[in-house]
Amino acid sequence: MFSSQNLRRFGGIVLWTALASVVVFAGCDRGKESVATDPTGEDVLGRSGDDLEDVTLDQDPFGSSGEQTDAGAIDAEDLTDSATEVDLQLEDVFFDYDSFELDATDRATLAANARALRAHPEMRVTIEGHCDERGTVQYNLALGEKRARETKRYLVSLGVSGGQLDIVSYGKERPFAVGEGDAIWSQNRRAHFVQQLPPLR
Amino acid sequence: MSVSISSPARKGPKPGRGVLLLAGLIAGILGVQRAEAQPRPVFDLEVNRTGAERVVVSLDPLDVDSPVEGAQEAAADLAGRLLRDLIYSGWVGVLTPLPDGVEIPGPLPGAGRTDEESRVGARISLRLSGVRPDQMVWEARLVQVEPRSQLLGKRYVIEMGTSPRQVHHLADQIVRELTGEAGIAQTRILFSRKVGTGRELFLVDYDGEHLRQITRNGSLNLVPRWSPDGSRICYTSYWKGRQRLLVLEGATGKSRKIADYRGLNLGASWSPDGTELVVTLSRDGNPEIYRILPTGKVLQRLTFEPSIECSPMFDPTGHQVVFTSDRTGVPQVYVMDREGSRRRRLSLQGRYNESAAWSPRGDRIAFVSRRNGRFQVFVVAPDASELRAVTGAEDGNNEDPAWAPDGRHLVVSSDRDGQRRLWVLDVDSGFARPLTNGAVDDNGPHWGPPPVAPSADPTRRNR
Repeated sequence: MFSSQNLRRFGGIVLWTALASVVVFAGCDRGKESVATDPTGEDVLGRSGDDLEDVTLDQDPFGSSGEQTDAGAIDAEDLTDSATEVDLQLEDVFFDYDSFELDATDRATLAANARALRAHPEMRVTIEGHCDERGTVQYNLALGEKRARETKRYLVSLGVSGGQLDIVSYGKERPFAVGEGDAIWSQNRRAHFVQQLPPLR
Repeated sequence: MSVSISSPARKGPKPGRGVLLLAGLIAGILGVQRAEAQPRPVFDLEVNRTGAERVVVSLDPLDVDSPVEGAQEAAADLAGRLLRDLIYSGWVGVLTPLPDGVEIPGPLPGAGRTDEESRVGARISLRLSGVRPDQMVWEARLVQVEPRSQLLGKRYVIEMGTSPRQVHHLADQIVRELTGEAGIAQTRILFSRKVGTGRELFLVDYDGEHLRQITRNGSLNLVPRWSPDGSRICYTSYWKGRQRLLVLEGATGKSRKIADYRGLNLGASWSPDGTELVVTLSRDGNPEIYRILPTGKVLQRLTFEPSIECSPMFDPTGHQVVFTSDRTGVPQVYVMDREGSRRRRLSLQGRYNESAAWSPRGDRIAFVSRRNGRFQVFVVAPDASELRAVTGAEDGNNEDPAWAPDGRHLVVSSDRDGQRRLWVLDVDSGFARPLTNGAVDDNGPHWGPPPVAPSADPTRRNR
């Protein structure tokens, strides 16, 4: 254990120094050993500087100045809801805490949505799954996915073409209402319908 | 609370001198020489991880030799920052009162300082000289008190008026010299911050300084994860209403898409050797866990349940994966091997356990557990023993635990002061400090490796 630890430790020093492009001062190769072996330690705090190792730090791979203004840039896309020619007036459905089950009210809502979607097979819709703020980021993203998927599954069972329906989960990252309490949270546990732009004619 | 006490110096040669001599030879070939072959005393704190064990250091009066205006104040500032780094390591206490002019910027743990000179194990001597503000020479010596010998000497060229990285480098060197532990002073934390209607990725130094934004795409950018060598970041982003996994290359600052399967593209965790990721995808109809290459190619599907399977993370050996499943009807934390077999449940209490993070030391796993309607961070051993709460009812909600490379500190997101911000917790001592400030909404932190990452080596796990 000790030997591997020491080897790594030394490997680190070698790597550091190899990465350092410039060693500013001479004198690395003299002095320290004799100082360190002095049993009295009298010269330990000598001002000659011979006991010092010069250190130059290498470049920070992610930059220390934060100047990467285009970092992570993706194609500029308008991600907001776009105006469409036909408003299908699709209503959202709502869920219980940590659940993706559709109740009778939701099924009635989706039956109406299914009629509108079947009447406009040229329209594509994104079903967004959302969660309330309670719980963790990743689990809520997976739960939102289950909500959107269950909503799509039910619409398809009512005769809607699966090709009209995309799904995406926003987890708890895009709440509709902000605050605490079930009046707030219940609004955020939903499958939300967003119409996509109609195809070009 | 814990009390600062010094540990006795251990004398005598350390094992592994042959390795040291070989390494010294290599270093000599490269034109570097250090007196590493000398047997050196070390303050051995590993025997007792109570969190109260600290090596106590004192600071000599500052030696400033410079006509540059403000040199005295600059020297005091450097010294205060150095001492803060040492205290933040968790392993070092500082003798007070401090020399004239030196103050340690807070917040500081109550047990980080002591006024008992008899406990001082080593002295720090700092000297600032030079005639140009942008090229000041900063010299540091670390001297063991008994037996008296110099443990370390460093010389840096620094620019006055900055918060130089050299301070963090020196602090890590001192911590390593005193304790054998790798410090965390040079590390940074990556996280996701709400900006407008989206979230962008940010970086901040481990002490809360040097905040910078690293994505600007106006979308939701979530759960970023460093590659083990710190050169790349994998994260989830949204594009045209779809989730996908991107990798941001540090060298170029550019992101490239690695996966945009239908549905979820989420929660990447790198294997320790950086050659694979474990992720959550729903391309086969349900959130399941997969191993993929950094190109996005699926290597293996690991779970086959109709329930939610998510939040995978490799252990430091790369042989096991900790993850969340709600196959019982509620989310619980499980462990499986990298092929998906030999599953066992790790969280045995509570009805909402999630966001597991395996310590880089391998010896414990942090996760989030809902208790009395609030979310708290717990740690547990890999055999499901030694369950312990890290946060409690008075700490608000605490989520997203991520380990520091030292396996001792956690960064979490917490709303304990009313804003969802990042906090650093010392799991051993209980000390907590805010990492980000202001009216923010931060989550998904991930603690990066040091510039050279010895503590990321999974073989060094014995404590």
